[in-house]
Amino acid sequence: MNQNYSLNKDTAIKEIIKFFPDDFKIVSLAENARSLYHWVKISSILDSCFPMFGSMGQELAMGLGVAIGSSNYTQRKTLVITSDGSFLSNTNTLFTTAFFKPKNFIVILLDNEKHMITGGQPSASKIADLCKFAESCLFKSFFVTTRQELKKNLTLFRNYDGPLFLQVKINDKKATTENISELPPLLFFRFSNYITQLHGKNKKISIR
Amino acid sequence: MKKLPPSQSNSVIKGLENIGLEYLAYLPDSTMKKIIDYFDHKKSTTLIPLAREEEGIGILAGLEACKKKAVLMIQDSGLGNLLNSMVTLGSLYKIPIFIVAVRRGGFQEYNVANAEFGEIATELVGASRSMGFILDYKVPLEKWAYVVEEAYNYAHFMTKPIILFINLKDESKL
Repeated sequence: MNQNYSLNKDTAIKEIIKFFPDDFKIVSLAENARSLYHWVKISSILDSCFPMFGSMGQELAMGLGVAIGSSNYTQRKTLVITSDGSFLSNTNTLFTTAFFKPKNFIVILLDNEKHMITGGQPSASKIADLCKFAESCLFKSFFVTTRQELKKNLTLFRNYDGPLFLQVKINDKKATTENISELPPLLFFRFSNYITQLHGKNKKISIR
Repeated sequence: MKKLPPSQSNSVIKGLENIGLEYLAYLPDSTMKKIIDYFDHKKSTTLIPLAREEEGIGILAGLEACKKKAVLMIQDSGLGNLLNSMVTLGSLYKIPIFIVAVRRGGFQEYNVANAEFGEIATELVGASRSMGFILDYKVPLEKWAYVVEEAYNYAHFMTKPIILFINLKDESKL
């Protein structure tokens, strides 16, 4: 077990949703999705969260789309909560983000330096300097390894202009998760309604 | 909208104008240059230059969540890059995503790699259980704008990704 870091995923996710309960949250697949789903459900803020079942890495792109699309009618921030495996599979989107520099866009990388879900194979996040990479794409970057540092940065993030990138080093303690039994179209429908209710474009969408 | 002379590109522009396009995400392509340039000069449309096709799916999913009107324009030779995202995000969550894929391959193509992939591009759409329509010399030019608009509407009616293949190469002699 990777014991190098004191933070675990549960603690990190609980802190993130405590600081950003109403903001838009798009989360990467697998354990991240099931864990965030569990904690936002307990906190009764399911509507603010969009979990990925697949599309590895596309949470970054979808988050960028939400950040751009929502910026002209809400002050709410768009958070992407991703993992090292997922982040590394779609770094393209950071380059695309550089064109827009959305002030409301925050990428939080929960980094255990492993592909845990497939058996703990190493990821390059242990070797590469992802904060420097994000900075090269015009993000303001931050790096934390403890709960206190995480809380301090999340406090600052409420008032900082983005795009912001936060690399959170975590250990590989298994997170508390919950199977997402809701149908994927319902998750999108609810998330979209949550966003669009803020600007009166809350059209009914039929689900087939 | 100012009156544009009849051409394939201008017909696509007219169709996209009729939609009320707000965002155009694209991978560069020489045959769609005229369309990109047109919307680049239009204040009400934001261009999103992409690094890869699949991130276009993610970004359009995010824009659709905000009820923004968007199109993804790619070469059909890049279709393979976005299949996973199109199926596991677009189709799975039933998200309307309008993709315009300009045809490489076929008549007037000069790059054999593009031609090779272009030959299977429409079959990939079928295999992914998505829907595709084709605009080429077989469709009268005066119907192109209407088809573009209807393809966009159909994606939203069916709440799923729709791919509209268009051939912008010079087919005037065919």
